[in-house]
Amino acid sequence: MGGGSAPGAIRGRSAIVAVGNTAQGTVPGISADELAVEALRVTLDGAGIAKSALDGLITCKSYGGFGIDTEIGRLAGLNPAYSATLDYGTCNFSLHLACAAIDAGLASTVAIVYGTTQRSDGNRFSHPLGRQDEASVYGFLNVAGPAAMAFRRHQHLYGTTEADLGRVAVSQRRYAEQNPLAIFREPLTLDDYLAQPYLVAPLRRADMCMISDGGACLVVASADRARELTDRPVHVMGIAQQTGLRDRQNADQWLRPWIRQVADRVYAGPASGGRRSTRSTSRTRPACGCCRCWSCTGSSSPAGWGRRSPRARSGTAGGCR
Amino acid sequence: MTADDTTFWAQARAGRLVFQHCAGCGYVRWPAAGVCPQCLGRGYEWKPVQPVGTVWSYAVYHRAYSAALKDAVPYNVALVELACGVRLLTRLVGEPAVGSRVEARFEEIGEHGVVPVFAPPPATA
Repeated sequence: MGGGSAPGAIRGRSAIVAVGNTAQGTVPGISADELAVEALRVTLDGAGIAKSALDGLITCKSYGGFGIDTEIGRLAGLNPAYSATLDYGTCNFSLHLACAAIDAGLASTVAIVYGTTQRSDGNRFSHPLGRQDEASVYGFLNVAGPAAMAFRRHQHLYGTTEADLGRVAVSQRRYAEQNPLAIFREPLTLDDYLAQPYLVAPLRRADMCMISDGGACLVVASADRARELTDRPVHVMGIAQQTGLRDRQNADQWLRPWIRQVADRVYAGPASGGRRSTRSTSRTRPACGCCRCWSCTGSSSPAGWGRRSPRARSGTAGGCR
Repeated sequence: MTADDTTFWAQARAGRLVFQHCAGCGYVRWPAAGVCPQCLGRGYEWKPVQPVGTVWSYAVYHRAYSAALKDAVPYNVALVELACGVRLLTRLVGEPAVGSRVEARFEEIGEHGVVPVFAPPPATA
């Protein structure tokens, strides 16, 4: 997979035309699948897109066995030409699938929706302790474990300091202060960060992602349809994937070296192999660069959260970067 | 149940570090599996390995993510790369350091009886 042609093959053929979130945090009185539909509603409303414009639906399983397209399609009253459910979504895989479906002509306008009540439902990302296995015997619980090991390894290899890592949390907190949907909005200085006790050393609470209820949606359309649906399309200029399915048989599994491999491919540019222009660079970056998670892609203004189509240029999306 | 790893734990209680060795290609399987991830062959034999390796990294839990671990914190969990190629989750005893050479000891931790832990070899301890 050394060639640079694959990631750029879909260059500009589809675009994100709308994005939205429900409230995040603890969201009582609504089911996970209803949250997904609520995310769809606020996204379509905010972008002025009719539900009837959709001919594709991509969902992702959520905690507790929810998130199946058949159930969400039923709740949302959709008979899309194309539908699919990813077992383990994340916004990247789902977006790639939408682009692929659009590029294959299976659909022209795909809604990607997700909803979860895992905070209210008590998901602790933990592990049953009954069985004698490595996790139980040695207490290797929670995703903080491999993350902490990865960071300590990074420190060993590159001399990275805890203050270096702390600057990530401090920056994210600064963005959160401007985001009315964010949960942790109190100011956080680097000294505050370093004064926090370890949770799983060398990581602290501010390094961890909160388990949250909430819904998110984005609508992806073919370039032609995108022009009809919004004046601010965000074109997808390249996609690439690389798995690490062999898990711990891989060297440096938890440093996730394939992220770099994917970056090398996706930034290698279009089939011609040439460098992208400044203009295309600004258009292809996600509006939010904090984690490449589309669920936190938002506009800069408080009123815009969950209510607007994405900005065409990352430079104007002040919400996260 | 060819993927059963009870042999690993049972042998560890007796002070031996054993893994499945693929009958076809010799690849050392861990986690235990009924099929070789290298050559896809099914045959294997549980055999001891040299109980030495290098610390890839470790984490120190200050938070108990299970009520059963409340009295155990703080404790460490490490990933050790064994000379045979296996990457094993384990506990480090002594002063842990990333990249240091360690060898297996067999000690009782928690409710699971005697299990492999790793420590610096006596010569450098």
